[in-house]
Amino acid sequence: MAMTQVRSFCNECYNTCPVMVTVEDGVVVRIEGNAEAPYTEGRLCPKGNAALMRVYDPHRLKTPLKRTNPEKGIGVDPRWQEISWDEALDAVTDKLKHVLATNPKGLKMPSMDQTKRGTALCVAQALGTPYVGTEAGSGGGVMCGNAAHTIGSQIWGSFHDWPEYQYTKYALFIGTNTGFESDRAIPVDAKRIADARIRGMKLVVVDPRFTHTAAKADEWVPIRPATDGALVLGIVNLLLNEYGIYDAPFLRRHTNAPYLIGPDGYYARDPETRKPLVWDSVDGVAKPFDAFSEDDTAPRAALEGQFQVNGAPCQPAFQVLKERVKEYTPDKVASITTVPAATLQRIAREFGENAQIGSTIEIEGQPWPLRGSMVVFYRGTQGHVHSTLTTQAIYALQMIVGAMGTPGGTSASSAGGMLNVVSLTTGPDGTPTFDLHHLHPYAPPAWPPTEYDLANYYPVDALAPSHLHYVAGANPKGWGLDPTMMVFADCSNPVAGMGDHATMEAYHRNAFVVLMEQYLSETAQLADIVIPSDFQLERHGLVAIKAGLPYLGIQYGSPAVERQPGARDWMEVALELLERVGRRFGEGGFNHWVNLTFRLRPEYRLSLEERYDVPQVLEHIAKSQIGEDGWHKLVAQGFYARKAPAAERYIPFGRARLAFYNEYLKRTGEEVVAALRKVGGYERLAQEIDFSDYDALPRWKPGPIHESSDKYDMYAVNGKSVLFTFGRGAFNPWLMEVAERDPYVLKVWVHRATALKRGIADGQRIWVESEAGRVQGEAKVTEGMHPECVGIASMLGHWCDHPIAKGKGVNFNTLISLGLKRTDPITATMQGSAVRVRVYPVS
Amino acid sequence: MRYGMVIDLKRCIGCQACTIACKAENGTPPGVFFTRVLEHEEGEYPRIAKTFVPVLCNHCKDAPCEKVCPTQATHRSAGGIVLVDYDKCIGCRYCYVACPYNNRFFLGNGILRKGYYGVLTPFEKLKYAKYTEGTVAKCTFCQHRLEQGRQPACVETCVTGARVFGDLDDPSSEVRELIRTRRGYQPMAELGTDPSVYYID
Repeated sequence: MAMTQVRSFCNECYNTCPVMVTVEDGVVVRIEGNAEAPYTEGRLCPKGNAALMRVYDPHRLKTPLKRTNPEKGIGVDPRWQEISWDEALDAVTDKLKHVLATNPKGLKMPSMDQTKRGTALCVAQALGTPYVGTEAGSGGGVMCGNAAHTIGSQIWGSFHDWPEYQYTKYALFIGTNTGFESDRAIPVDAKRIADARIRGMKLVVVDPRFTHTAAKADEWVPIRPATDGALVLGIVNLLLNEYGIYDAPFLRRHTNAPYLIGPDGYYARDPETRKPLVWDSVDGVAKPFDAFSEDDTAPRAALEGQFQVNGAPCQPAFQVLKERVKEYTPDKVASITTVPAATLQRIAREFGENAQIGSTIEIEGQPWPLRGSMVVFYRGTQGHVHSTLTTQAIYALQMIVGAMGTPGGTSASSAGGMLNVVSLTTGPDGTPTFDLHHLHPYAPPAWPPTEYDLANYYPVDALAPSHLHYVAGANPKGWGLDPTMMVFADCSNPVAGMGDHATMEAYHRNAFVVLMEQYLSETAQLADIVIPSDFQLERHGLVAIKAGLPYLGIQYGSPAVERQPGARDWMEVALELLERVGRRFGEGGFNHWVNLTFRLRPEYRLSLEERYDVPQVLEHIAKSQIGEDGWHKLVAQGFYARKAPAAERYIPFGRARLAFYNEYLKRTGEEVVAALRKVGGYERLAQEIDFSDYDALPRWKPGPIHESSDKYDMYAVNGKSVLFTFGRGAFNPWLMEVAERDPYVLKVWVHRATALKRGIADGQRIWVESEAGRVQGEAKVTEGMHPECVGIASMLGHWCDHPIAKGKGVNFNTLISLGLKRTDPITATMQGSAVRVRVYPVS
Repeated sequence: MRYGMVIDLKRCIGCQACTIACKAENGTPPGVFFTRVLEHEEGEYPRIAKTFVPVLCNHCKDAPCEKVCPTQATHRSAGGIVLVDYDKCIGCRYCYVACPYNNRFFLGNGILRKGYYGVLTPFEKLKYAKYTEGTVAKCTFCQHRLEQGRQPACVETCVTGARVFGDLDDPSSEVRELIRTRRGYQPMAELGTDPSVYYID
């Protein structure tokens, strides 16, 4: 028996944890966590442990297929015809040449494979299309935290905030299962959180569903969907106006909270230098902000009061927020959120007191502010119209207790670098400079739109609005867009995982769809050509470590098993296609874009005319970052990690002041409106996009799901099970077997009293119906559900012809209406975390 | 030397990584789980408690399964691990009935022929070779890993560190330390089976 061990990384969700693969006589017998990696220490979640089953799935595609039925639709047999790889590539090349010659922007390359993000971007750049990457990366309408990325970037250059659980005393989780069932790497954060809970960290979970996270919490606070912002502003109001708990030194020294705001909502500025002004409470005059940037001068900056400056009444930004939040009284918040006033008051007090404002801790020989309270939030707060406002509210709370960039609070990390923590540069106004467009290019306002994803109307979104791509592409002529469209997708299944069937069908009818996949998925049914994709374990790969701070670095995956005959890697196919259409070599070709995108050092730059295979490209990229020795270490270990010291992680702002008052956002909103009035389209767009959301400070607004409706009298909310972070988990028989034995995962959760009222019994089949569609499921009657809601686990309810996935669980996305009105006006997050429904027994 | 496990219910988040890791490590057929995580909800909205309880063979010191086995197929190995010798097992299922913890599995007729997809995968072919239809199978504390100086698969993979493995006979071991400081208890201790698995909460 020949046994080998191969180091690779998992690819069952976006966290790509390091794994050790054991192979016996050419067969994978085990995937375990790589015990040498200091961030996971051998731990691995159920999906990673189960991944080998999918490698040996007999339903994997073995040969390319061509549609022979011209009629495309959900449930319509494409009448597949098996074709050779050559035939498939010839057909794809012809189409690609046509699209490139007539309408290169008509090409979309969606993917649910995080591991190729950078190199796939180079393919897209060589082809001249901006639409590439994961449905999250090229657009975060679906599963990502658009508002968190966008607002975090603006406030402190942070694409992801990392909770510093090690020192936290009080963690307020809002709309998130992070580290328990989804989001951040379970093998990393589950351990960190468990250690913190054993140490005594209090965990409070705000969520309509009683999740696994809530099960481990000290307190579960059920809440009406999309009202988290009101809850947080209620806490801010109590801290500022009732309890007087806030971190004044932090706000004065590290934020723009003391900046004076004029009656027009903009900074009061020095008439000569144009610098924002701050009121000197000792001298009784306004001075430029940078007069208060040292430890001895900062205490003079006024946070409160009303002053005459430049002949106009001005207030510090802090005072403006303090006044604004007065309307969020405990009683008002209770009526919005259903959280009782007394609960809100208690949580606010606990949050404020546990923040331990003023305390310090010595780490690595240096004193740092210790802040014991933090908010951890994610998808549940994000998937709604007005989620930008909610995110602003959460950041405001974090800033007023000084829990940003401090032990016990959160630390920042950027989207761009693999090996670096955020390093902020200061703009002329003292706030950080930022780049919102790492992941998709900026598109200026235009009418008709120039972008298929309508990015023209979301200029500050850090991610492209990918769901709107389907909305516009469903009706390109109606939007004034060229109807020549082509998709070259990599294991992406938007038909099951995006939104309403009518939109998804229309889009896929309009486009020529080439899909590389492992199975005949729901999207495959609407494709023109399907070609078999390989698995991560069958190829080389290079990814960033996504364990979170303090660990930074990169990981390498070596192939563990021979590739299944007939299957290929999307990148490999893409390179061949690039060569066929003349975009692989030379100026502006793939090699050129790799050199630019990864900023390859001169000695590692690709020669523009040489034919590199995928592993060679990855080797150049890695060596350019970590050198020859680093490369050998990387391949031998499977990872190359660096532990960021405290001095990099804590208060990493330099002299930059966090944007407590987000003047940029307010100004941008006014600019967008002005530009759209000029170029046209404003009247039409304003019917669906609420441009008044662009504001420097948070507020709460009801969303379209809160409109009263006699027909749809309940909410359906979704959330992830740890078994199914991505849709592909449902195709794994081990995960599905565990889910089938679980009392909750595949069911529709209904509150006991609600079930009684509607004549629904435990185990009964019920319909959940929205204006977009209806889905059937088995009722799980439970106390663990908000009475106004039903709960559904996402990523399930597949209807494609796969015996493991088909008909298991409920497809939430069928209930989602896609459209601008159901999209956050600023960050283009789709209204996907909750929808209005009616619920009734199947007769 | 007495192998034992302490399971920290405060740490367990019910993710089932152990369940799947065990499945992969031992290559068990459908329906067979040498370890599982049970889930129990109680209380009234909004004051609810949900408990996740990982269970596995307790490798009891006074094991009812061992006593009733008519062929000594169920026997005790080094370190107190309770094992089944498939060559000796006649499939009478006495042990299966006698186990008060429901942690033994009868490998019925045909169970090793279909696998998870209806046809055996290369992985299943390799792994099923060690099992025999018509016998009883169970957790082995991953004896094959212990022999290599490693820990059971469920312990190494656990994402919260909820499972701790060690020597119950060693008063300074981590398992004994946890049992002492966090008041570890054995499941259904009143039955007098003296399990080698302890819980803390």
